Amino acid sequence: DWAQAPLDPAVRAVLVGFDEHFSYAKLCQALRYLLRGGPGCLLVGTNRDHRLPLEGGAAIPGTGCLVKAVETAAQREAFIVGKPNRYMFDCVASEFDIDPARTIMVGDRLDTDILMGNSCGLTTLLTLTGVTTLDEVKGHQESDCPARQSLVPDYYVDSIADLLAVLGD
Amino acid sequence: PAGCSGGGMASCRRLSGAGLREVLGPAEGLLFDCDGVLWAGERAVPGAPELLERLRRSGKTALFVSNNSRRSVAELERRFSRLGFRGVRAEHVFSSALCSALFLRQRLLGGAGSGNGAGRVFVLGGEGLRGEVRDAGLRLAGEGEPAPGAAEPVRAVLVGYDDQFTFGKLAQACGYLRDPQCLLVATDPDPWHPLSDGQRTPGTGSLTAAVETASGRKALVVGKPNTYMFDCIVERFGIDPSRTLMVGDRLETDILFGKNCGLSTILTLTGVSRLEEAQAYMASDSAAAKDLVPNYYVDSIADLIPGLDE
Repeated sequence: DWAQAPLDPAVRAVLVGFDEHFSYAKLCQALRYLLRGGPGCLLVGTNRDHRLPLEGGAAIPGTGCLVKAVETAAQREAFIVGKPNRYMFDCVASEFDIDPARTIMVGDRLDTDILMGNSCGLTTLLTLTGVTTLDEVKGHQESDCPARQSLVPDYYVDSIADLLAVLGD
Repeated sequence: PAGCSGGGMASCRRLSGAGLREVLGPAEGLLFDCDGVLWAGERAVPGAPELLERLRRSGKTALFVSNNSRRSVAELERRFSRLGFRGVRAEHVFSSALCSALFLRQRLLGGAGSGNGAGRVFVLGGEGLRGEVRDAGLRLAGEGEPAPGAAEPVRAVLVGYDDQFTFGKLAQACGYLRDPQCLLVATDPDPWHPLSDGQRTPGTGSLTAAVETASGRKALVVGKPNTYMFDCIVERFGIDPSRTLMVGDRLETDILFGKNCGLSTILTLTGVSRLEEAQAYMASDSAAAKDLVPNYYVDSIADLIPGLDE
């Protein structure tokens, strides 16, 4: 019975990532560690993506679902490392001397790539080879809501191949 | 009327002595939550069986309303008996498993589009829940079946307490939910449940959160604090809310349920919620918090016995 399995005394963090073997038993163990450790046990999620698109409009559940399950059971919020949170940008910036005003963030997803770029003061470039359509961007652009406005990129291209034309040899 | 529900904030008063008689006297019936109120694990709360016996002798109705979706009402009837409670029959027990099945029966079999095309239900839950859905006349989708559309369509996904929950089942549920006509229903919102050793086990609420996030849909939640289970009770027994008391151990479900249904509420301290939590809600500025404050509290439901005639 998973509720009785011994806990590893050295565990001080629960990390939730993409886990296609996620199960009730694992959720139970995560909850036990978090209750045992209280604030002394970290709860970290790699990202909050709701789903990963497949061809034909289907999708598989994303890490965000598993993070939500743990957060709900434990009644506490996870620290999220991935976009749109700025932690990963801070990692990059600390290792490579980056000037946000002279850096471009390129991505296909508004609520992760573009939002992070905008929040970190980068110039943002949307490529249309992924999940986002121009109509979605226009919808946000025309909205009154400031949260939606922050999903609007500075620029877009049909594909990143379009950047070749302006780069010298 | 029993207690003093309706209008004005509840004040979380200890129920004892003359106050106890004033509240219990006019009451025609009591609704009880089960876990943490009547029993904890395999142990009846001391005095609880005697309380039910005294209620019966006083001519007051006792009915049971539980968010626990693990057991069928037939199993619950046996559990009552095994734990020393006499005279409780399945028809007196309203579990979220039963009421979810009734809800789905209404929605899938009750309308003009019913009959041949009722569709199947994909259940995330144990055998108790699955049995209630079958007993309501509905057919279950199997697990690991071919792609949706190959057989009779799945018209509802029902999320309950599922200790066999897996990523694969989550993905399968999302597949069915791509059809906007497919309902998403949850038995209850409980995020966790206490175990007898002080541990906690994840509840339906945590599994529902995963399905909602993956599907982009909000679940229809059958259990407390939503009022559907009260509608089921009223339909079967026709009780008068102004003469009925709700007794529970969880502020966010039982007490809010009582408030939503127009019942006076009694918090018992043998379960999940602490008195300090009720007092904190009472001191809060938020209107929503005030709805979580019980009218009364007792240390245990055994404390209600002196309020009944000899």
